Amino acid sequence: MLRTMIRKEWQELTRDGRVRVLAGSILLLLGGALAASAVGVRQARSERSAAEALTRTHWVTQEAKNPHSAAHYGIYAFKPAPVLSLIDNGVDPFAGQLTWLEAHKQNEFKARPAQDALPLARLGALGASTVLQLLVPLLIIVVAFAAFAGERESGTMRQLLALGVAPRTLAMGKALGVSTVLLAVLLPATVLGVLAVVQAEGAGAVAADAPRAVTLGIVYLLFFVVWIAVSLGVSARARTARSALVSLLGVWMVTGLLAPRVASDLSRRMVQAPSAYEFATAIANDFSKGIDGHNPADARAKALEARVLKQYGVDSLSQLPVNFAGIALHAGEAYGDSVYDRRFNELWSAYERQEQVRTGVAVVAPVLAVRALSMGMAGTDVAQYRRFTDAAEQYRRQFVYAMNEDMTQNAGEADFEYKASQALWTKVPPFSYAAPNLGWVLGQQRGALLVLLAWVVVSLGWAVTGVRRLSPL
Amino acid sequence: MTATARPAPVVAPSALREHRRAPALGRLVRHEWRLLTGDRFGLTATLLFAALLAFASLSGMARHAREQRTIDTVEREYRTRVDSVRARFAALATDTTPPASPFAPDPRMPGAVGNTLAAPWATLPPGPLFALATGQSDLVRPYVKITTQSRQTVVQLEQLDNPLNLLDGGFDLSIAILLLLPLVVIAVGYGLLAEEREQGTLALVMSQPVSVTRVVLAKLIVRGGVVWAATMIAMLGTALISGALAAPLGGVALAIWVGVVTLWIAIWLALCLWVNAGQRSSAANALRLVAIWLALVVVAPALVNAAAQWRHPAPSRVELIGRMREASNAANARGTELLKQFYGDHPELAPPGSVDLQDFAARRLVVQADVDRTLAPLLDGFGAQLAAQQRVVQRWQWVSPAIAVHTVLLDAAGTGASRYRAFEEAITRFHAAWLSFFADRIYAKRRMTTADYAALPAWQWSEASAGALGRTVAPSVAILALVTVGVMLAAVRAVRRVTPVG
Amino acid sequence: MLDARGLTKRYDDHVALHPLTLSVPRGEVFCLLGANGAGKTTTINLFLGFTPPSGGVAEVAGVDVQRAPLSARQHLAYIPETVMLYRTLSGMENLRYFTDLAGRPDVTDARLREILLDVGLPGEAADRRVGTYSKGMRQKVGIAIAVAKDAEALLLDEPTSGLDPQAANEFSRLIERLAGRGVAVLMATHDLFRAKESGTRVGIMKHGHLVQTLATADIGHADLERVYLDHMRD
Repeated sequence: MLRTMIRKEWQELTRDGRVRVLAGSILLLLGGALAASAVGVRQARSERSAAEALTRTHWVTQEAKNPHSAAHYGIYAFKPAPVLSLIDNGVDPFAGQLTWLEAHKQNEFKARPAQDALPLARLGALGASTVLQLLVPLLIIVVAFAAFAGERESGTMRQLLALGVAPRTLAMGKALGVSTVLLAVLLPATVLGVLAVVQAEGAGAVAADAPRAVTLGIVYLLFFVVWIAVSLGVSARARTARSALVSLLGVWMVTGLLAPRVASDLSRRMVQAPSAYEFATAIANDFSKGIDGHNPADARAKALEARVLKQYGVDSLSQLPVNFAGIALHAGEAYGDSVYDRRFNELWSAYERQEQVRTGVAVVAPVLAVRALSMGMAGTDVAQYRRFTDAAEQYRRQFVYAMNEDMTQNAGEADFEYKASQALWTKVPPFSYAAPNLGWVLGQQRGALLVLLAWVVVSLGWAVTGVRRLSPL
Repeated sequence: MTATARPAPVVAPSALREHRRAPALGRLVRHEWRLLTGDRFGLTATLLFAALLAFASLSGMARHAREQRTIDTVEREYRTRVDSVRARFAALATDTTPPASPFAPDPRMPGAVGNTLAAPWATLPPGPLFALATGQSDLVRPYVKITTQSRQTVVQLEQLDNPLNLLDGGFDLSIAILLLLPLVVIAVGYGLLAEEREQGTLALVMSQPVSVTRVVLAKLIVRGGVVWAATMIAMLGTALISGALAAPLGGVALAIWVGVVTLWIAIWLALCLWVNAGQRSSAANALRLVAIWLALVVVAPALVNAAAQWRHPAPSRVELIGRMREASNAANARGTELLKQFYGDHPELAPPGSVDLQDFAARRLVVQADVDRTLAPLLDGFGAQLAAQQRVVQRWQWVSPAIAVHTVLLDAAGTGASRYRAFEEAITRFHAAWLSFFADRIYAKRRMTTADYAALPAWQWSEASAGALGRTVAPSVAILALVTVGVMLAAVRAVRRVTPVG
Repeated sequence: MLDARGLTKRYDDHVALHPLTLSVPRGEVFCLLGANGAGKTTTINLFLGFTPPSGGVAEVAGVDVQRAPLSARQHLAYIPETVMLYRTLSGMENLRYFTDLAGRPDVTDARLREILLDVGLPGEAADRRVGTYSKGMRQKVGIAIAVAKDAEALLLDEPTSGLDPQAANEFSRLIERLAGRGVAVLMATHDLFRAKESGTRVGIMKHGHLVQTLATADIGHADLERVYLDHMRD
């Protein structure tokens, strides 16, 4: 019975030119997007590793110089391009790709790809994630809107129910029919996706990304289940196929198109994050209240000097077994670190609260939850961006500390005239960053995950009650 | 039936037949208005649209106020700082003792004045219709501190913001007009004729001595008029409240917006009409129109943009870092040589007495100048590639009117690519002037004088002329007008062939 | 008033109407009988100009429908199987609109109300939404449109099918009254009884041919049915 119904749905749907055109376009766009981003990701990765190698060479081949000069010379950190970003590049175009790690300063990440793109790009690139989040639901609507409403309108529902078909069986047949059509698109899409990932990174590394990739797939499947349930639920309740279609298109447009932008505006207005000026001014103010490691005339430096002399039980700086300039630099860094910790933490937590506002909007527009999870799995969400910048900052502090410590221990009375050898540069390990595991990402996105699961349960329940009360009139 | 009590004859005297005339458009319009107010779905869509327009207006005004406030703050900060620096200089002007340290913020030292003490902000006032279109304004910082550092350090326009918000962009009137307005036109227009066909009234209408085009015209006037009026109220209200008319180019920009939005509505009405001229059901029309919307508003701009990026890819900022380091390593290694060469080429800038080739400030400047010279073509490459991309988009904008509408709305609002590019170029020029002003004095080891303070280069933003704006948007507006006329004609031709029979 | 001369309608694969010559003068009710697909509706659509003829001419009040559809339609009124109206508007609002479309904005609202009463629509119904109307009430609004327009020719396409006998009778009386005042009526119908009752002449159509024309005065009910069935038998 069920098989007969699925076959009938399949025949009916695949004969519909609109379904064929839409499914074909989706596959075409998806294939194109994946191919283009596979090339892009691969290029970005090789570019970045080349730049890392080059700047590392610059670092280790520095001539003999004062360690503090080396700290000022600094090191560059480049944001890695995760392989799964070819499916969802998330905030990557709008996140800085690189930063300069130098003495005294935590620089912001610079060079957003978006700044070198046209305003047209802001209308939305047609990446794989857009196709999955926007176009596939449209396909589901086209396939499912007439499921019950159409049969009701044409009177065939009377016929079916009069034959003694249970509404539940009818619904099952419809749901499976829709899913079959969807699978006909999604299976080749998955193959394309895997091919793109392998192409971008090579088969070996894919295994490492497998848990994230599989979760990504599950998230999208759940999202499609929600859309199938909502579409069938609306179709079961609508009097005519037209009203089913029009209301589903309305929901699609409002949730898919408006919700992200409105959420972005709402979050900005509810949680005000500092502007570049406010941020820089706050940091500058904090600094004016603290020790300046460079300025011996500074009163705070004088106090530090007194403390250190007392600690070592000597009367003058020349009697110290260590270099005072190094100690002053340490003190300056420590104060700077406390300022940056506080200000950057404020900044990021403002962004976090903005994201919570979005999770709130996701309660009415599940696509927002799916987006958050999708970016999370792809490694391109704000949380993982922050985690990376934090890691880079930790690395900066460690290498600047190593430079200042070398100065403290070895400069003697030479102060800034002291020169360290190349051996010191190679002692600083290259910066490496390991992406967090799946559990960490899910923990960060637990709000979105809850919202999505709730949507699955509620939409299925809603569809089931709609079908139970199915009437042919 | 008993006819005895009937007062009047059923058929009037045939003399009256001569009075027949085509129904006045006003009467048809009134009828269509009644129909629209009875259409629950169309009404809901229109009201939702109006609510979203109001939201976009409020957001836009808040954004505009914040931008203006920040710029005011920045400019105030500069005035206070410079006033205090001038006062300190006045007190020290005749003092010839050397400064406490080479790094001391001493208002007599050109290095300190140019790099920190009097470093001016180059600011960009919000564009005339800033409140109507976010455009690139959330990416670009409209205030840049001009110092004597290198070009790639100073000319940095990145705004600080949550990347997630940047990704989604805001919801403003330009977005409401570009993405949403067509959908609202579709919502009130997908059943223009198909609904009449479905409910059977089309046959009755067409059995009357009135041309379908006239009836359709009334429908278009009412349905398009409602959307047009709502959009205009939101647009003009936001523009007036945010002071657009007082801003330079405000009037011209607003006129461009009114024209473009009108054409944009007309295009979508015509598309609705054209789709309705077929024999399909209203549901099929709705799907077809949404598909057209998807193709024109979502897919086509993304593809054209992708093509432009593929054709003229932006240089890599990641690679630039390596080049920059190499250039600065090389220049640093040749510092003494460079400085010697410089004083050889510019004997007039040599300080009195012996030349100190190890002078920190002079060496830094000459090294920096060398790095900037090496990097200039690379840095110019970013702007050049972007301009090349823009030309590709211009060339392909006939693919979808959405591209032209987007470009024109942003350019007129002053938040598009052209104005920010002009800002960046102006900053680059101003930075060069500022740098050279102080470099001369640093090389010559001269101290600041009262005359120097009076002659400090001042930042001045000059807005493009109305003519220039007109020339920028003219090709796109022309294409839009052509597309509108073309689609209208095609739609009217198709409607002439409409019959009520399947 | 209604004249067809060699009126033909061909589609790619079949002929819907073989050359038809027919004339319905003022005051006559001409009923077209025939099975589904016999060409009745095609004939009416050709007179309305809803579909272009493949040959021949259809004229209304001497105006070639094909050449000047709008001026031909000035003289016409059309009542389909079910008069479909704007559901969200009242009967009165619908009548006003169609009267305006007919080029008669000069007919006052008071006069339109009079007409609605005259065709038998209950007074209170005139301001109710059409969505609540029965089929019989809609057909009456259809007649009212014809009356308000002061049409000289009336084209009806199975106007009484689905009406209960009393409503059908009422409707037929209205048609007869219009004919009595000089309107030419061409009505497609399946209803032999109504054709005999209201018609002055009856035409039997088959496979796009008008196979026989009878004057109803000359024939009884039983005879008409026999003649009709004979034709249908092949």
